[in-house]
Amino acid sequence: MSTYITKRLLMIIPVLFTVVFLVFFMVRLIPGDTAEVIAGEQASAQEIENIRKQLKLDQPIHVQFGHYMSGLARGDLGRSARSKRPVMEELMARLPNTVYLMLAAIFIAVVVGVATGTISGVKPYSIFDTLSMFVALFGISMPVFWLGLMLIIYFSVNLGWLPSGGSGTWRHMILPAVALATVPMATISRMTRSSVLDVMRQDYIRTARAKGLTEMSVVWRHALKNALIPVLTVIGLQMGTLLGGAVLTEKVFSWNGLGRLMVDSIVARDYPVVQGAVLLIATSFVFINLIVDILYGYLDSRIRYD
Amino acid sequence: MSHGVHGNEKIKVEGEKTLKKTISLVICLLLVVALLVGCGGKEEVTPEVKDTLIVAQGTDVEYLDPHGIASTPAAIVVEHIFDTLVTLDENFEVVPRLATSWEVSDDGLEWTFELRDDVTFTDGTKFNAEVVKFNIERLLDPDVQVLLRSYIIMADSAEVVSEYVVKIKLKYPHAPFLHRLTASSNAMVSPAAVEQYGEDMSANPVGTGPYTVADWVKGEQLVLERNDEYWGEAPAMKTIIFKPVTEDNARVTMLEAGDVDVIVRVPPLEATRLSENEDLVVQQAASTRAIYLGLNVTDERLKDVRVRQALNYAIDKQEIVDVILSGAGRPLDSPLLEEMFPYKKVGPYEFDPEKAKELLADAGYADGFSMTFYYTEGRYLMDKRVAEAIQSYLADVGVDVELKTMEWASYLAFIRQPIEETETQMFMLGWGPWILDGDQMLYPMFLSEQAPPAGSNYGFYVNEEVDSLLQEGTSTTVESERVAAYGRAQELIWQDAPWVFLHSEEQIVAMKKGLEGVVVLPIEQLRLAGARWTE
Amino acid sequence: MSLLLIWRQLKRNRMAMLGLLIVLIFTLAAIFAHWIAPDDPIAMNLRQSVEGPSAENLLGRDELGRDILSRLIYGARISLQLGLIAVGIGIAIGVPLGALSGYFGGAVDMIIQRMIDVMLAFPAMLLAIVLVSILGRSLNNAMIAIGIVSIPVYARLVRASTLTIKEMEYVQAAKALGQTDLGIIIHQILPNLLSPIIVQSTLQVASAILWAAGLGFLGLGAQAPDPEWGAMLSSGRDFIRHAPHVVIFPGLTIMATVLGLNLLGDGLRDALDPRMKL
Repeated sequence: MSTYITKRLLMIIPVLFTVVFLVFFMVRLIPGDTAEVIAGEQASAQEIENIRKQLKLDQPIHVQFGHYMSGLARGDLGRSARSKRPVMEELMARLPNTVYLMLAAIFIAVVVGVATGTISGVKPYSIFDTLSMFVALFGISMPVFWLGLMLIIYFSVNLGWLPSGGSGTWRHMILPAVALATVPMATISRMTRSSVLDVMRQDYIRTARAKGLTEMSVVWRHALKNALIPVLTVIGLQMGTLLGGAVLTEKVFSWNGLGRLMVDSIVARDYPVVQGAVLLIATSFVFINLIVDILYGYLDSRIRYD
Repeated sequence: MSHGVHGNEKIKVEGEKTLKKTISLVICLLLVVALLVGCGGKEEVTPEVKDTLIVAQGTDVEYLDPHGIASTPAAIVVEHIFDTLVTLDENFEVVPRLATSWEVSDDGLEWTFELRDDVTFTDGTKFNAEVVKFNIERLLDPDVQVLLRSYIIMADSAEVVSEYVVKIKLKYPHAPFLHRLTASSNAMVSPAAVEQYGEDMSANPVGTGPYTVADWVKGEQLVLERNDEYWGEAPAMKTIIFKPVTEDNARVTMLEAGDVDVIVRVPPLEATRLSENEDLVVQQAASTRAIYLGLNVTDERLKDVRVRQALNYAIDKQEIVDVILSGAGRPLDSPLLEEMFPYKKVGPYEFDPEKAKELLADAGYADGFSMTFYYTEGRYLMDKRVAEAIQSYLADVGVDVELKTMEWASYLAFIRQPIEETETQMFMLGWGPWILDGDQMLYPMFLSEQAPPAGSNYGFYVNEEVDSLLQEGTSTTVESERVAAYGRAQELIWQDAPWVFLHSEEQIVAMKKGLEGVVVLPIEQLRLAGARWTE
Repeated sequence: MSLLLIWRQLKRNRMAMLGLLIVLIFTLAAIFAHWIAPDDPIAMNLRQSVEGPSAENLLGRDELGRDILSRLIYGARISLQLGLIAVGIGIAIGVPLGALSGYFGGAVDMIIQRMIDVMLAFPAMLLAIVLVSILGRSLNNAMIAIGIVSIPVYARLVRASTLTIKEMEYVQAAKALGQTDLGIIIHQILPNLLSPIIVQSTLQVASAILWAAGLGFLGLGAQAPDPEWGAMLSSGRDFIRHAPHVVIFPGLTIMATVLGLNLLGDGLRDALDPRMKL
């Protein structure tokens, strides 16, 4: 197990290096550069040249890359081209918002998904089961930003209960978190259902029942615990969907998060910020995947690594 | 997932494992809850005393070193922290600010300013002629990022005459120089702060204005506190909070919900509805932003003036303004706008598709032609819809245009190509100068030597007479001569039709009732120093 | 498994049949858009901007007074075409990569897997955004970007199946008979991968349509005035209060199509391989 983890950890290094390398060159392949954007339409050619020089964009690209890598080695992500602030500062101003939003979404998804999935799994083919399956199917078939717009129409515009955008208070978080939670909620619900169904057929459940335990405690103490293993994996696998969804959700709800920062920075060709954001997202993503794999192995020891 | 092992042993093993699992799961959930609660605690409490103003802007302020700004939201904030030498008043006249009076030498090359003697920067630095000299030199320093250097480039040097008298020398006579000094990007910064903060100047802005920065969470809010040492009239608001809210509809809902007090860039569609709301006031004001269809006059077809005029006749500008902009605009009737000096009405091109067809036929294009129309989305009011509408109007006179959107950065790079490399044919752009002197509109856009890459004459328009008129208008300081030269230039440009003249945008600002003294200037400026609550 | 057998299996699954029906409706709408659509999808009529649903315009008119129903019907053409081509790109690159990786193992596997790891280090949506920005905004580039993003899905799927299949006796037999590696991959392995690929592709077309809508929403999809569903949603956003129908109908259409594809995909999965149940 520990050799497996070491091996996986070692493999992360070349992967992340390639990510850094690719992003560095990819953002520079996008037509139009930072200087053009920050200069705006009223600046002269001379001024644009000046800005290029100040941002060191006039240097050969391999020199720029070397410069960036040596900074990175010192833990320096550079400064934003637009705000001139350290990229780390820009990222840290947004990271908590995205993390809160995702945690809230996961929380909603797990609570609702596991609850409905369990009930459906214990009582398969009941009305509740059919209904929740339909809801789940609709959930994964909706574009997340459209759901966001629908929530705004209903809860902000028509009812006036919740703000339609902005970040700051928990009230601002409800609608975006619900919108973001829908897809993982649906997936978790279906996953829980099928694994509860599976577990309920097992011998030890039968034994537990035979021991005279109530149905409730059979489900709670035996079935659910085992059924949750695959659910954990699903949560990990949903992180990518969540992050991608976060980009759109953050836009719909004017949420001050990492996804929006990244899209805005791509639009403004703020290379250092794009690079920093992608690196941060990719790193956490790779680690989340690793942790899920390890947890999965730990929880279900039938899987062996060598 | 099937757990195929049977027997009692399995139950035991499972029991132990599940215990661990449950514990870790519970920890995970607790963590989630803790974070959620922690986040909920961030809720702000709006103070009961009404001396706070919350403003929602459409884009975030990126940079607050005045010399390095080029965006409207940044300029609005800068105007509250910094002062310029002279400024525009509500009647769009140039009035004293840090300078109390000024005079220009007969050759137009030397401008002498008398300065206020009672002004101190918030870091304690005294404001005087030395400071002005420092600022002018910094604005001209090629190593400093000055995006709107075109607003100061004619300056050559500054000279300290006495403690409170400064003389600015120009490289060449430039009539609109005083107007240029009203631009927010020419505000005075503290030399000591520049020394101290260097690159971090933007995060620590030190000015002489009515407010100082108290807190700045990027992307979330920018809090200004009243500067109690302010030399001018003390503002009523103790705190002004700027929040970036990018979605138009979100700003509107936030105002309606009472989360914010003032919103800018109200979608025109919402303006009517908001104005029917008794608790709100909607202010609609002209702006200097002109939207036009640039025409590459080197294109085989567009080099014929009849074709260019035909395109002008083919589009119903009034309908675009009425329907797509819901009235928040005016069709252009001159290359200059009404609020600018010295505007002369020379149009409009009335909507007349028949005439357009005749002109096209005269030019040999009775059957029309096809062309590519480039534009960018999300930058100007309803720009995508305007572009689609234009496509439809042009189709009616036989001109078949293919729409091509580019993202802003790519678009800028694309239209800035020099003549040998350009691929433009027809492109939609807006231009919103930060001063009200027509020079900043006509000179960079219609002077032949301002063709890319030098300046903003993106359609490569050349008319020698216009060139000499524009040169005359910018250099002579005799007002009547300027009026005459620019008047003729406007006529010529209008006839030559290097653009399809579309419309100017109006700015719509909405605020809570009971708020008074909010000034909206045509240069897309929102002045809040005089704002106060009356109820 | 014969097609007939699959069909019999599928026919018994009511949900799958519903899915198939939905997919068929949209496919027919896409093919016969020209005849079905009641109006010209790009004919502007400014004075009737955002009129609500009526007998004349069943789903109302959009912000430029265009018939929404007609735009949605023509949009089906764009979305289905986009989904199919994007998935085609994913298959064309992902399947060979996965097969090579699984069949040869060793260094080839190592290199290909690291490539896939790099791609998976980006959330799909973000990668698509960056790719479209580089390539420039257009429908074709959105297709390419989404195609590239779906490569890892196929590479992983095919690799896993190849690993199992290559140990099968008939593959070993073919090897013993002197068939080349390429021949074995093409003639022995790929045919066996057909069913999982078909199942995956049905679901993947659904994802592609959702991604494309997302890109369209961010202004990175089709060019105006193309009636791409995501772009319709995006520009209808300004009318969310005045004329919610401009936003609601395109969303419902996307949802119905994706739902149909998902139901069909699940049904196919059950029919082709009952063990693969999720």
